[in-house]
This record gives sequence, structure tokens and C-alpha cells, in this order.
Amino acid sequence: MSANGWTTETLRECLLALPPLELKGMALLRERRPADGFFPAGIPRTTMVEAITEITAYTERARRMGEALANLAPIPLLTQPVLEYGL
Amino acid sequence: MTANPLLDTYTFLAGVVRDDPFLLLANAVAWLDPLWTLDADDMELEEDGLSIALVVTRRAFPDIYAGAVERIRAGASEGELDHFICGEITRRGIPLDTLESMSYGIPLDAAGVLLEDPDFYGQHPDVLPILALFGIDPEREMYTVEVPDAAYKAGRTAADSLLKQPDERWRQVGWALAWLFSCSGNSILDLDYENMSEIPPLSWEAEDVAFAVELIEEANGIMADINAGLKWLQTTPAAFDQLADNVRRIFQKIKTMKGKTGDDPRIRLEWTPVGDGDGGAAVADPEFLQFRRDAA
Repeated sequence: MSANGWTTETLRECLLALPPLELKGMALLRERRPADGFFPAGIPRTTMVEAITEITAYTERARRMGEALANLAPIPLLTQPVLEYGL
Repeated sequence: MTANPLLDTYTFLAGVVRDDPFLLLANAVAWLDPLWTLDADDMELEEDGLSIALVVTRRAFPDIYAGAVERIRAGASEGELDHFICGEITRRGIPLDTLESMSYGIPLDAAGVLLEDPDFYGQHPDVLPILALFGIDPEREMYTVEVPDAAYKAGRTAADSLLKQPDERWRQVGWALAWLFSCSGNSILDLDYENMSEIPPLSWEAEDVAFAVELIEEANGIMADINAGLKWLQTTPAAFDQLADNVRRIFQKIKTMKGKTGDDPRIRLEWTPVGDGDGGAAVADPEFLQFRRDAA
């Protein structure tokens, strides 16, 4: 439990309660996906450029977030027993 | 007879992908941002020009990247993509002929003058009368043009004085001399190809892109002034005579500075209005005032 009363469970519930992300590209895939192919075709150029611009910004944010998470300082679990590694 | 169940697999998987937000997002990224895991730093110089261009535009020009991906999805050829990306980057202020030139960083022209190079005079015969005033005579040389020691000092002194004049035409002549004697302050105009090659190229990071655009824009403006200044000198004998007279006076001043090779000559130069232009009044060179102050 953290100092402000958060537990692992409350954090998990909070994250699960987030609404699914909806990007223009996802909507296009859902609505225009052809029966015999992977990706829609014949979408107006401006719509495509909008969707690509939005998703590129999203993937960049996600990449930066991943890098930040990978570089978090370690947190010592002083009160958590880890029996698997007991000697 | 029932259809092969394997043929239904695609429809089944497509339905799963459509209904699962996570899979749908992954599918959308694969469709619209296929290079999302690549980083420009990971690219090798051996990669083909288009791959490098896509990685670079994704980071530096997201809207151009979007246009390129859209064209890839629409079935555009490599040549069409090359034309599109080069055209768009050129339109942003960085002239680009081929995508291959992107791999080493932002390509910059080197329009600087190497007065010792005889080839320069073949390409710019119009500057011969001006450089003759500074004791430079390339017609006598075959391999390396001899440039008198004082020529650079005299050229820079004249350029510095001219650039402070209110008359635009004299300032344009000043830019022409600044170009000839590599003292414009703009690297594109002051460095020849060899010297430019020794400088690490600008990266495609946003800050470097903005700097390159500014540098190129400034160089283009100065180059327009250089051409106007050279043309004016060619067509206005009175202006040329005045330049010749002032250059002669600078050389005389340099001769009197025995042993002070590091100092710039401080001399009062006057550039009177010539022709039918707006004719800004001539101003005394600030070096002269500095000279007076130092003497006091």
C-alpha cells in the first residue's frame, strides 16, 4: 500500500476503468475493412493523412512512455515477503 | 457440401481483430504507421534512400510522412514517393534533389569562394575586374592562383565599410566583396565544398532543421544582393571607379602598418551616391571614430 492509501488492486481497477482508446485509424478499420483484404482502400487522401498524423503522434507518445517506464528508479519492497527467493 | 473450415479462419480472425480494441489498435498502427518501432539513430547509411527518408520525415516532418504513407497505401511507385518527399522538403526551405542525400544529415550547399582555385574564375569571369583591384590576376596562373597577403585584409575592410552604408547598392557591393573574401558570416557563402565537408552535418532534429532553413534563407537573400551588387558595378563605371579608389587607399594604409599584421586597417572610406537611385548619404566609417577615440 502506498502512502496515500493506494493498493495494487486499486491501481489495477483504475487502469481497467479507462475507456478504450479510439483513434481515427481504428474507426476506419472497423468500418471500411474489406472482406478480402487486411486494409481498407479508396479512402480520401485528407482522411488518411489525418488518421496517420493522429496515430503517429500516439505511437510516439507511447514510445516515450515506454522509455520512461523502462528507466524508473527501483522501489525497494521492504514489507513484501518474497518467499520464492528465500534462502 | 460444406466449405473448407480453413477458409472461414480469415473471417473469424478479422472479426476478432475488429471487436478487440487492443488488436484493432495494433492493426491500425501496422496499417498507418508501419515504421513506428524504427528510430533514425538505428538506421545505417547503407539503407536505401526511401527508408531513411520515411524515418526522417516521421520525426521531423510528420505531415510529409503521413502523405508518404498514404501514397504507399495507394500504390505509389518509389519514384513518385521520391518526387513527393523531395518536393515537400524543398518547399519547407531545404532544397533536396534526391532522397539519398538525406542519409548524412541536412544537405547544405557550399557556395563559398576559393580564390586560389583557377576553376572559380572560369565559372565567374564577371568578378575578374573587381579582383584585379586587389592584385589578383588568375590569367597568369595555371594551377594555383596567387593571392597577395594583403588582399583578404583589404577585401574585408572594404566589405565591412560598405555593409554599413545607407545606400542599398553600396551594401550590395559590400555583400559581393564579403562573398569573394569569405567574410559574410553565413557558412553557405563562406565555405567551399571541401571546408563544408569537414564540418559535421546538421541532423534532422527539429532545432537543426529550423536553423538550416534560416541559414539557407539568409544565404539566398545575400546571394541576390551579391548578384545585384556585381551587376551594378559592371554597369556603373562611376561606382567601379569609386571602389577602385577606396581599395587603392586601403592598400596604401596597409603598407603603412608595418609589423601590425594582425590589425585591421582603420581608414575613413567614403562611398558617395552614384546614379539615379535613392542616394543615401555617405557615412563616415565607424573605424575612423574608433581611431580618433583611441588617439585621444
